[in-house]
Amino acid sequence: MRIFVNFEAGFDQDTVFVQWAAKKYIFTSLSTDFSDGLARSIELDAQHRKARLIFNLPEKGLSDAIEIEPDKDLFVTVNITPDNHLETTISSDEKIYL
Amino acid sequence: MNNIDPSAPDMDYTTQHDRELSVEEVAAIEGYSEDYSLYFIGSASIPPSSPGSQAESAVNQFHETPALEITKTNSQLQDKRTSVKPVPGRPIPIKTIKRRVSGRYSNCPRPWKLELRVDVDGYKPAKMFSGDFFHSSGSTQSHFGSFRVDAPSISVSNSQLTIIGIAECTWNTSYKKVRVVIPIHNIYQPSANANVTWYTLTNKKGAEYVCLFESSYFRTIQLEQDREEDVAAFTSYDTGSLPSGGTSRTLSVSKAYGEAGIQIQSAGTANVIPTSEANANHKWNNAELHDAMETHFSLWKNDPHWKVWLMHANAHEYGTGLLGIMYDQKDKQRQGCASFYQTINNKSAANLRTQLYVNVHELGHCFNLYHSFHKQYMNPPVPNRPGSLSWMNYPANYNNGSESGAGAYWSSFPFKFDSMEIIHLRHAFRNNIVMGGNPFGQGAASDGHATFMENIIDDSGLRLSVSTPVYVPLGTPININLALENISENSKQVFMDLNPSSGLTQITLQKPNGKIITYHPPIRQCINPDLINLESGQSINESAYIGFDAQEKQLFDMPGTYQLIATYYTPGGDAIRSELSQIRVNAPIDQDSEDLAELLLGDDQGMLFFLGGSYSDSLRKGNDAFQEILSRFPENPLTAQVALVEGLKASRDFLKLDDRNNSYLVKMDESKSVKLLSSLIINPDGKFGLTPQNVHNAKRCLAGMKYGNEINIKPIKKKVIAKA
Repeated sequence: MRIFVNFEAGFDQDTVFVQWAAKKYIFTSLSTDFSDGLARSIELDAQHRKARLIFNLPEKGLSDAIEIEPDKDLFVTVNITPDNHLETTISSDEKIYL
Repeated sequence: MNNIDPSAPDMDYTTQHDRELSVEEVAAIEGYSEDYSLYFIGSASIPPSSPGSQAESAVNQFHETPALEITKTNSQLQDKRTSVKPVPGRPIPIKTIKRRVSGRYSNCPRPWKLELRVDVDGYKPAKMFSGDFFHSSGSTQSHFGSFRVDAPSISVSNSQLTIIGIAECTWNTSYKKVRVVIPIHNIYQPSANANVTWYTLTNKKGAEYVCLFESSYFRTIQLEQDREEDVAAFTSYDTGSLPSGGTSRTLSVSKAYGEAGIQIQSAGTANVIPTSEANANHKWNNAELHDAMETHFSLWKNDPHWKVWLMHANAHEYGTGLLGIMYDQKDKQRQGCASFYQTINNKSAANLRTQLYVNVHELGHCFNLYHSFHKQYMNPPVPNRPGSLSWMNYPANYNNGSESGAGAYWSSFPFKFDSMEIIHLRHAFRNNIVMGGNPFGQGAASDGHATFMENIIDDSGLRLSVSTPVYVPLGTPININLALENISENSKQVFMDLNPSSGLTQITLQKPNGKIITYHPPIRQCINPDLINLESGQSINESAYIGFDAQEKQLFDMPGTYQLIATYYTPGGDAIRSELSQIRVNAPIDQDSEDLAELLLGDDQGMLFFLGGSYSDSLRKGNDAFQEILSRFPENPLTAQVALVEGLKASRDFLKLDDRNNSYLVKMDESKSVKLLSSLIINPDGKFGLTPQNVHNAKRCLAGMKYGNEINIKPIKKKVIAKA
């Protein structure tokens, strides 16, 4: 099983720290491309039955954590809203971009 | 005309008249009447057996649609080719099919070439016109500038159409008034020429052009399509195959654009691109797509031009979730895009529908169109339209306030662009749309200029009203009242917030010098707007100060007549426009009023009016000016606005920072506040620029102090008012 994380709108040269269970990742200079609405897509290997997925944008003082218990592929979207909040959604349906 | 300004007259130009005539005088001399109005006729209006049957067969095709219908009595009828017999003693109305006038016109370049786009009839007429000037020198031609007339006056007689308006130009000129006259021909006559004349605002005549009708399309684009091996490129889809919101028809990509007035011509060489040009896993990345474009796009060049490349490919490295991309975002951008067939390859109706949608959508990005839900990220931004049933929305992101999601989108989607996008496609300044022009997102909307026109169709059931002061002295801080009323029989879901600072209401104004400005508040509130149900007859109201703009600074800084339109965006993406309002700013009549105007029109003062007062050191000049106004002009009606701001400021504590960033409190000054605000409540009608809400705020503030409650200015905007 895999977790697909799509960083969508509101990113502008942002550094994003992602933590999935014990693994930590850092993504730099994320900017939204408005031709498809994506800043970056990442794929995480969901080996863990249940774990916390944590997003942290220290420069903007934003963070969010969601607990995930994957039993099939999951699709996570992350948006920075105009009022500077981190908005996260989870779906088992793949989202279409274009 | 001359060599540096295509709208100005030639230095040797002389008119045949012995004096300059105003446009209105010319109109009077030529005897224009307004007996007839423009409207579009559908195919149902044309009898199949009539002489217009040839036109009937083409009536649904954009480029051949006759659009003017003028009803005359048989005694007036001049056209002998009509076979209707008169009935003695009783005139029978005979319909004469008139040739449509909308479309593209151009002149013979000597040295200026004018390409004119007239948009007054046909499908979704924007009731405006626009154009481009090109400068010819020898065998070369270069683009000089674009212009657009957003809100012209249109008059139609039985013989000609006259359109007059003030142009927004990309070049500096004093010749801003444009008159276009087009004789109205019937469908048996060739299309008429457009006669274009430029004037100054004082009606001094400038350059004249005679432009020949070129096409019913507003623009023509060459499209080169290549495909990856083993990919069957999309050709057409019958929109009646699955439930939808539009009429059933067979659409190709070019037909979809043709309906918006954009002609797509196939061009270049159709290549088959080997999959081996993609990376090792046979999935394209953006760099490879760009490289493929430079290699296979036979018409490509790193310059602005009306040529675009569409590649039908199998898969992108981003995965199956990516159906298409406009990857060309370096150098001269927006010249190429790609669609990916990996998951939509078989020819089921749903897949063909998606293929059509993806291809039209990606090319929309090449025309510099953003997603409906990303409009706020454009430069300049406009409000998002998540409820837009447009090619540029995502089905899954569709949300009109009452329904949302892909199912709702597809069942209502008419396979069209929305109105604002159509205006961009037809009338955007050239560099804001041409492939290879401005970077993606820059100038992607008309910055609200398109709002400076009346609604063609408004079935929203909502009415937006704007109340403005009619006559004010120079320097008056301009406050407006906005009211949104449900004029339908049913409940309507609307956003509560009407304040332009929230971005849900846009104010567009035209200054006396013709410049059109979309109001940008100095501080934009980032809000998640509350939704309410507005019952039939109910309204919401709000007042707002709009005198100070983030970019233009003081907006009402010159005497003359200002025109203003407000546009409110509903959760469903409808743009509700107000009627045109006018504000006449009078010039100072004496030295005192001149001094007062000067004291009121500073940048700091504008910001203080916007903020409702501040002790900030960065606004010290404004506060000093306010103190001078209060002491020098205590009885002047304009001083009321200053008293209001100063009174509100004194009514609340203010936390300041000193030089070392330590905070300290400036305590409220109750006696000063009471003195200033009390003066406003007596005879408020005589005080220029004060709105009822201003007075209400003053009263509320005074009441708060009197009873010792927490003092705060709580606007009454959230109150829903039932119709009296």
